[in-house]
Amino acid sequence: MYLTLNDLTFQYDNQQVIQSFSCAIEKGSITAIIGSSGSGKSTLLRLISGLEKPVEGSMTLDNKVIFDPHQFTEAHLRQVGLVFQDYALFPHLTVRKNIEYGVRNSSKETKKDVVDRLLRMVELMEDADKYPSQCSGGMQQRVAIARALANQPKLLLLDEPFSNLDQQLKERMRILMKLWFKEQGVTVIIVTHDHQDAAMLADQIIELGA
Amino acid sequence: MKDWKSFFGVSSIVWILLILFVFTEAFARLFAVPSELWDHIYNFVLSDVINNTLLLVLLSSFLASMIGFLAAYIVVVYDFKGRKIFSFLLYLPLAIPPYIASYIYSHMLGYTGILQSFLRNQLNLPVNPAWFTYSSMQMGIFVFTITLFPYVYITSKGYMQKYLGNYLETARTLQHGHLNILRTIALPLATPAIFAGFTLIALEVLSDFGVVMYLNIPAFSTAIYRSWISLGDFDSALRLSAILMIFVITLLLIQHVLRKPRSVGMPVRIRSLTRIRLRGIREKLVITCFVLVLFVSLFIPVTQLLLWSGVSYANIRWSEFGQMLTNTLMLSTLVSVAILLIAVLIANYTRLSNSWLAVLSSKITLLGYSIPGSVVAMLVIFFFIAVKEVVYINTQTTLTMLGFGLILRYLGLGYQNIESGMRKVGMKFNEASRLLGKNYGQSFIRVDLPLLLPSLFAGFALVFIDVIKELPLTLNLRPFNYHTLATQVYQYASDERIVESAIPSLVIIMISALLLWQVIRWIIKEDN
Repeated sequence: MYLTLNDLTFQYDNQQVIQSFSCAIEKGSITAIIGSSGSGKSTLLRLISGLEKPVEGSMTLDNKVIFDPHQFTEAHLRQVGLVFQDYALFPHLTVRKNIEYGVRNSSKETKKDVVDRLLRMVELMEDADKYPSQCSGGMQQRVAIARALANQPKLLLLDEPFSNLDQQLKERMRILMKLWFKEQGVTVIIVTHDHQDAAMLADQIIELGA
Repeated sequence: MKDWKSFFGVSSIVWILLILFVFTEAFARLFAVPSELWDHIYNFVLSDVINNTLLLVLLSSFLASMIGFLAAYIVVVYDFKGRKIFSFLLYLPLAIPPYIASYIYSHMLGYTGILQSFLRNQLNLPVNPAWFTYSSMQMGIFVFTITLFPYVYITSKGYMQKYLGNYLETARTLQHGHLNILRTIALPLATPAIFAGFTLIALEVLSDFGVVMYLNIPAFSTAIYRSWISLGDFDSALRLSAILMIFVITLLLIQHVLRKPRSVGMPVRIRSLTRIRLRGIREKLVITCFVLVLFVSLFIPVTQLLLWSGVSYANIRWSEFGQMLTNTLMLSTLVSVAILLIAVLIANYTRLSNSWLAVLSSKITLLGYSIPGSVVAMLVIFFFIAVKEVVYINTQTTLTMLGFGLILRYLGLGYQNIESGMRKVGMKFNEASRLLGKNYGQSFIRVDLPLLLPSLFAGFALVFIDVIKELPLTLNLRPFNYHTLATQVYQYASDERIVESAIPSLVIIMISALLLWQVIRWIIKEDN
């Protein structure tokens, strides 16, 4: 298995947020984690990405242990991308610069090629010089996905990706995302509370708190 | 990230221990046997000092709060000719140090001052000097009121603009009159903001040195200075400082209780307020009031200084003036930069750690700003003497000592700005950057720092403005023959050479106004 979580437990302020959670995810698959508000979905993504440290359990990614009682791989060393619910686009950087920020150390030309390819993929070539505040919600989401993909993540996590979009845009984005992720061969975990999102996008569905 | 957290943690704790050591070392001396002079101070001086200080603090803060709140209410709720320019100009009296205003007004109202001379010589009026007599206390209250009201103007304007739109419009739809809305809705809801400004004014008055010394008001600052410098009695000065600190702590506790940010129950959605257009007599009345306030607090002092500058221009020794200006700018820049660096370290630590140690670091950092300059000066000297017992250091007043004292005094001001900036920026951009392969330090420099620039500049500017006009610390800790613009202004005023103080005073006001102007632009942008 590409990603395995074993008995993952997390508590915050002495409150058990996640208790003994285990799952296994295959490479190149899209997994949806569904659950009600407060079930710990977003926390789970923060644990996988390395932004929070579990209290117990273990995690392996691509045959490497990223967490167990003896070791903890920091977020910036995991190669795990996360698209936040509010996208967290850097407000002082343009669309192009935001995506470029995600590109790993490489020459100027290579960076430009990668960014151009991603801009074309998310259909934002003409808006490359806009700032996030000048972009609509749908455009911001596409920038966030492109930025995460620019980093060539081993695993891409999406936290409630459709919560800020209207119905029409949501349906279009579901189709596009599935297309992009399969095209890039990236392993994806999506957290959502919407069963329809999960059914349309995911290869497997995990229900949290079930 | 763990390494960064440890780095910020260790740096913060070293600094905090240093601050704690400074305070504990000095306060330990309180339990020593009092000097003979203390009996005299206790029996004959202390009650006057307490009464005068209380009167000065309470009346100045009350009057300044009233002007500040009403001005803020009017520019937030009503629309009238010149509203934008008035709302901007009302911040500017903060650029005028109260001690400079006290020199100007005392001189202006004197027998040879511009007012009496004009009435007597130009209008040939039989002027009775008794008409212009005032007590030192009245003058003190007057200058503090006209120079410090912008504190309440800033706090209550920002608050009302953000949170009161919903309530004020609801009250209007319920057919409440203007005065009734002001009395029953705006005033009670804005109380925490008003009191935040009131506390700042009270702290400024409590820590003032220049005004009370010049007007000869027996207050804590004058009593501490005289016990220490004139009578050479450190212990009595320390005891007076400790009593003064009781007032400061009481004030901070009251503010803490009154603040209760959630007690009001803020609206879920913030609705911006549609201003009511004032016309006719009401509009004229409001404009007249604003013109009057700005005339007294800004126009008269600046015009008088310009007139005096014209007279004293020829007498200025420009090479000495240049040296003083360089000293002032160098000192203010070095202290402001050092404060920003320390504040960034501590703010990062409190941001990364939820531990009680981080919370304590944050609280202790803010402590210095509420301690009057003359008290900080004493604590610094005690600290250096204590250190000398362990390692040999020079305990003569030096620039290091002065710089350390100024950092201790103003760190809280710089920290407050950076910490609030960090709170606004939050962790999400840093986290997003870390997930794109950058470590905490790289993320902080490339993502957080550009977003924090306005807060960093505001912190720098506000510290710079305070250091440039600072008096008690600089007077007590400066090396021999080291002058800044502020100490020179004080010196001229003490020698009754007020006219010659005009040019250094104007330079202080101009630099402060320029920096303040930039900070105000950000405040207005943020308020909107």
